[in-house]
Amino acid sequence: MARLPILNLALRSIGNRRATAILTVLTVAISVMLFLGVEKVRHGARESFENTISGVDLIVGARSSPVNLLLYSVFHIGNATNNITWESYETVASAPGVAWTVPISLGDSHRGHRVIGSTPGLFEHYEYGGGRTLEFASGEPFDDLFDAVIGATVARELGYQTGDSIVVAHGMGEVGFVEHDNNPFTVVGVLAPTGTPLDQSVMVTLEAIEAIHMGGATGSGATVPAEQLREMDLTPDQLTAFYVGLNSPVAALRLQRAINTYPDEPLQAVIPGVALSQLWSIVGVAERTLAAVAAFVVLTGLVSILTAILTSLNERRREMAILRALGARPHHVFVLLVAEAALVALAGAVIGTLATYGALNMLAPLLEARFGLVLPGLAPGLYDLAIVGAVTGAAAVLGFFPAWRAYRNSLADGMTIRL
Amino acid sequence: MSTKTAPPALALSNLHFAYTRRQPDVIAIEALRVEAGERIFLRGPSGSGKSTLLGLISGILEPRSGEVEILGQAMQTLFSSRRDAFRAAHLGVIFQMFNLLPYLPVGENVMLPCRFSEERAKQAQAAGGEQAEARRLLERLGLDAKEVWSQRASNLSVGQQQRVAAARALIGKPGLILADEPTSALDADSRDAFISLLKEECTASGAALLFVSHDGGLADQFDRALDLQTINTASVKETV
Repeated sequence: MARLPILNLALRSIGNRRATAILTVLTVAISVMLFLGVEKVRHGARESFENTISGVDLIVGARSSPVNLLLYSVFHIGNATNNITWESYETVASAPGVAWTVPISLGDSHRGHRVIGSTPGLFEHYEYGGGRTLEFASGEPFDDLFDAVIGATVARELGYQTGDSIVVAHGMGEVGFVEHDNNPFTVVGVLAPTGTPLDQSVMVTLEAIEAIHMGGATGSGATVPAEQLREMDLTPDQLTAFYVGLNSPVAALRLQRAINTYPDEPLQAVIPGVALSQLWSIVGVAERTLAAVAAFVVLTGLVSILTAILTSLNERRREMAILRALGARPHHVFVLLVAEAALVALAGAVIGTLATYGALNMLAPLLEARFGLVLPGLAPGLYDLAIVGAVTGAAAVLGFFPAWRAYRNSLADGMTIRL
Repeated sequence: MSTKTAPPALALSNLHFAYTRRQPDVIAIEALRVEAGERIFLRGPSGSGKSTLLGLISGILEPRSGEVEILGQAMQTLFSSRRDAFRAAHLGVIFQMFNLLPYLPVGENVMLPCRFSEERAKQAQAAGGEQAEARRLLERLGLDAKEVWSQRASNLSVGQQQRVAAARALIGKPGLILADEPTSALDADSRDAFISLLKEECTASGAALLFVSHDGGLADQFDRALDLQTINTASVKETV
């Protein structure tokens, strides 16, 4: 059958039911947007998560479970089961193959934000997002005893700038009951957003942690003047954990075993990447649920196409009969309806994809600045093309159902229609 | 297809049809013949098998036995795809109402047969182009072609729609026009005007006309009148 304008007819027919068609296209577009948006954020979140810490070969702490150690030493969730001694730290730090170590001492807070006692090595060695190093939005690493560096979120939420003075409280909580207010800290640096827990943290020197606890763990701090404190040996007895960098990552397993079987103290070493993916397998359930929900929303969008077409079918039996009388074959009626479903889905999917990327491109700077969430790929790629194709294909397949009914109707009706 | 004497526009012989294998016939017609260019009135009250007969003539329904021959072409010898193409090329159909695709403008509705059949398109080209021919037919059927051309079909009155449908049936010079109660939605005046215009145009394009209606009063306006109830000898009548 030459010059059969089925596609043209399908378009015109959709145009005739413009209101329904636009709503259906919109439904599909929104569902595709949701799906792609969830996919993007999901991958972004996963990558961000798995890249929370990199460049560190081992994390060492008191013996508990790898996930637990990771949670408190990197994500600052929960508390250490136990501290580890400075001697053990020194033993590991001087082990062959160890390039550097960064000690971590936790337990204090500033207005709900964790305080991390550490060394300037933290700013040098901590990497995230696959090899990105920490950068300062303003100021510089701590140097003096009572210097503090704050994360981007802390600075934003509390409105701190370099030069401000802050007081650290014992324990965690929005309101510290015991404030180490004898020894105020001076903010000397603000970190650029990283999307890691460091954004939420206040970083001070290891020695300062020791100093503020001199008057007893829950005291107001050292009564000794700061000048004198600076002269004292403030090497701590205990640590919460420490990061280890190796000359060659190949040695990680051997050193890990050595640490795990360290005879003088129950220590534990974890490889961050391994522990992170263990943790993700727990957290990831939510992510997969989200993806499943998004997929079902797309299915709902597709079903709405089906509904729209099925609803229109009865009032269009006449249309089919006319087409048959004019020489259309039953399978043209079939193709007409499948084409309609596919065209609506195609329009919806394309609009949805474009809208998603439009929104992502607008939101990306904000997401990165506020949440440090770096979204992968801000231009539509092969994956999106596949989604558009899949949605269109699925709609065409779903279209078989109304098409088959119309086909049967048109066989039964012929050119006349009995209503 | 073209023989020395023009073949009849329609010839039925020993035609039997039932909707399912076990049912008795609803159509049993020994013979029915419409000569080329002839204008026949076929009276058929509801339930006499009109719709079924039109389905059989147009090749959409397949008879149980017997033959349908249109313009000398035996329909049963064609595959269904060829039958559909043949229908597109040689038959013009006018229904009782709702003849037009509501989403196409009037002009495109009229030219639609040319989209489905090369032959109709060629004939229209030969007559001066699809558009010109469509406009000419609309004018001939008493419509202001310029005014209605790009209007949506659903904006027209029923009478106007039937004229557009007639123009569509006639475009590209098909050999046989089937009209299924095309005037039952019209009042007496516009009905008679419609019938005379339709007859004129059929004559002008040389098409035979098979005009089916339950209203026997229209019979005088045609060359010949037949009664489906006498032709159709099937005992079971259509239930619609």
